[in-house]
Amino acid sequence: MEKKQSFCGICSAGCPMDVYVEDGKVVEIEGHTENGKSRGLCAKGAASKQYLYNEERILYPMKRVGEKGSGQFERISWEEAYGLIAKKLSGIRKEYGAKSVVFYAGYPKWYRPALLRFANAFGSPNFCTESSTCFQASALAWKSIYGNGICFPDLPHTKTLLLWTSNLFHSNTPMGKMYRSLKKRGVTIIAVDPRSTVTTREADIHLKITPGTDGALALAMAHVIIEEELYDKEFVDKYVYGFQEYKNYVSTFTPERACEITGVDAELIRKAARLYACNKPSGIQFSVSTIVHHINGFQNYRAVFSLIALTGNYDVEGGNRAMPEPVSPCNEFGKVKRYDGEEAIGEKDFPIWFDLPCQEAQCTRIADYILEEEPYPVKAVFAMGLNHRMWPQPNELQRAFGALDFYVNVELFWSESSRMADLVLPACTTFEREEVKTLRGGMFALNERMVEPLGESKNDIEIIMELAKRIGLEDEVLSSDYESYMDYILKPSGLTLQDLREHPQGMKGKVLIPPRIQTYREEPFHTTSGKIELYSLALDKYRESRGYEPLPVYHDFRDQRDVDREMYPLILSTGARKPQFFHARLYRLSWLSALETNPAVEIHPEDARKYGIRDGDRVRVSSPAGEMEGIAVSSINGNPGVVYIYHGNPKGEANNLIHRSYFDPYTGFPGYKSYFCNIEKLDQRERKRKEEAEVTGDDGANEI
Amino acid sequence: MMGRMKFNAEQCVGCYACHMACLDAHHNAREIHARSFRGISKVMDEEKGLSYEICPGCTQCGACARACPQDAVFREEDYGVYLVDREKCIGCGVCTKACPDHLIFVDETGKAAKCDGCIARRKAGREPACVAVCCLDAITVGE
Repeated sequence: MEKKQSFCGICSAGCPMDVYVEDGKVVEIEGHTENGKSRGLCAKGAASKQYLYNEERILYPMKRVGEKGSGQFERISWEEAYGLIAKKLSGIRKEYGAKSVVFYAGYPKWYRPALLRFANAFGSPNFCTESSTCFQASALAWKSIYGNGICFPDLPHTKTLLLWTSNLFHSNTPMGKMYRSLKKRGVTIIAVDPRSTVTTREADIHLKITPGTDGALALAMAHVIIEEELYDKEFVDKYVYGFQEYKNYVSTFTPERACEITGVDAELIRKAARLYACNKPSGIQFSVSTIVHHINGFQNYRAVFSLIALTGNYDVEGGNRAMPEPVSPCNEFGKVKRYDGEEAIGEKDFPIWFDLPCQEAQCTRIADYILEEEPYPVKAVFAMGLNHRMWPQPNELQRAFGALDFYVNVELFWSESSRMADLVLPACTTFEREEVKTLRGGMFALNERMVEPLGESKNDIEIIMELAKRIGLEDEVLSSDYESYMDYILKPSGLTLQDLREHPQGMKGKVLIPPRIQTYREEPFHTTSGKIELYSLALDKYRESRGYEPLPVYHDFRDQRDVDREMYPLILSTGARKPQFFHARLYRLSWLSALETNPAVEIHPEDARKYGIRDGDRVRVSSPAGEMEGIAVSSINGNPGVVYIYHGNPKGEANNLIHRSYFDPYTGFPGYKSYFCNIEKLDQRERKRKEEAEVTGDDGANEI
Repeated sequence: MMGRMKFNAEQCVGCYACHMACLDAHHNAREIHARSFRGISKVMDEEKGLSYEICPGCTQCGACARACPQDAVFREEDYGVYLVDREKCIGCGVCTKACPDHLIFVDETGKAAKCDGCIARRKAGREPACVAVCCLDAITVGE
């Protein structure tokens, strides 16, 4: 039995692992061990064996035979697959233009720069990713204020931590140790979360808000900080643009008003605001998409992020810092620019997504763009890791895929997402390929191959490189081979691939940029005004044409008139983290799936009583968008009136309940975490009728 | 004896990593219905208005051994781990009622199955799988 070092590829944390290999098979997996003690893993990483050797792994290139959507595929060779793709994409480009082909990257992210190059070289502006509903809106909210990339809190030096809707014990278990060490060090922890969780349990203050009301809370905190003159006057005078307008706006957000909106006690809001502003330095630890998954999410996050500038906690030790650790420069990630010579999908809908560019198009509405041929016909999708369950009303996307001339999905696993594909190609997992990893503190490591790729599965970048050659695309990086590509990534750091091969534990780059603070003293902010914009000029540009508001304004999702609140009196919040799941990818791991009831529909005991539902009852949840069935779980963790469901489950899909038209007008992000629904216990007779229908024939709603 | 297993409930956040590590250590990927030797308990923190899960595990207390009418559960010497002698076990299930954490169970072959303290790993100088995987030191081997 051989012990090798690798990195988990299930989520972005990329935790180091020790992998035990025997006879060419992975037999055991552990968190990396140092000095006899293992670093540990989360449940998902620990279940990696069932990921790597899952029954649903795609092993060979598969070509559709029969009708689109029939699920009938036959095995073909890679040669034939490459030839087919080259022929179809070239043909479609000739007839409809390169932009009619959309290039999509799912999760994980490691191959994105290569796919972006591919799209650029092909001539299409339509490179997009799952970040159309994740992270990028948070980054955009940040950028609209500070002009740079999002800044994380300097945890080792912070005195007060404002943990904004992050259940990190469950979403990032290995970070739990750091969290506890903060407490030990005497850091005051304020946790904002609509639910009581194991994470809020260990916080000093828990601000239990109604989902979607984060902006009101943040504005009320600003109100207290300004009214009580706790803000950093000197910093604000010198570096902030729009303070007067901001101050006028927050003057109406008294803690009492915020209490009405959010449900949080006014005195507690005052206490939290004072601590954040005075017990400095203070950091805000955020979660990538909890705040932006609301129709006012973008502005909510702007309100939260504004607190950092207001209190002078920007780019200082212990605050939210641009460069808290040494960094070694490298190529590719964040360095490749998207071809923007033509209008991209989403550009008309969400202009600031493109004005403050993240180098991606916006594809939340791709189903509409395909079906309506807006802004122009989209005829093909070349996807790597597309999971239709990411989108609201995922069945609509399937329908749209049916209208494409050509759809390729490169995937690890067979799923409903590939049902409408013309070609499905097998990718391999992190265990089966090499990858240069950028670690913290300016370090790099080579994730080596643990075992041979299963079946004929391949490294995504090798697939891209081969296709680029077949189509005759020009890109000097893609035209080489994968080894050279890895060396190219490392080049600016002064390291070579060989260096990493010789240092399996990882190596620090030879070129190191040391940590800095107060970078703004040397360079102006990359905003229109050159200052931190609490009043955003980038948004001001669209005040007339779109009604965009330059201040971090609060609009309550409950103030809408489209949804009948008598029909849908409950608040629906989807996606609150579970430690054993990661979006839609892990339901197929039986070890993880069996841990808890699923699909669980979590309701408060008061609502359970009101609706005559008991723990374990089968229930139907309905919304203006659709319905789903699940199993009721009675829990005091949320507040009465709110229903919590985790998404992406083929047995019961919460995203069926989110309407496609229900999104944030600034970013296109669906309001996954604050919408409306109703719930009812499934009648015994109706259940039987359904079961009979399932046995005799397909009622159209069943999925594999 | 080389140290008994301890479950520090207060440190546990119910992340289920130990369940997965246990399965990883004892089963291959295709054993779809494999069952971990760890448990799941519900905890109520009234003060915080929180109900959450924790994952207790076998502490090798020996209650199952003492309850077994066949003497099929015995204590091995080097690590103080209680193991099941499958030849003696008749699958009566009395042990399952004696276990304070409801961990020992009768498996699909009709024999009692329980945590083996990852004896093979310990002999190779490694930690038990659950101890190694826990990020929060909720499972330890100690006094």
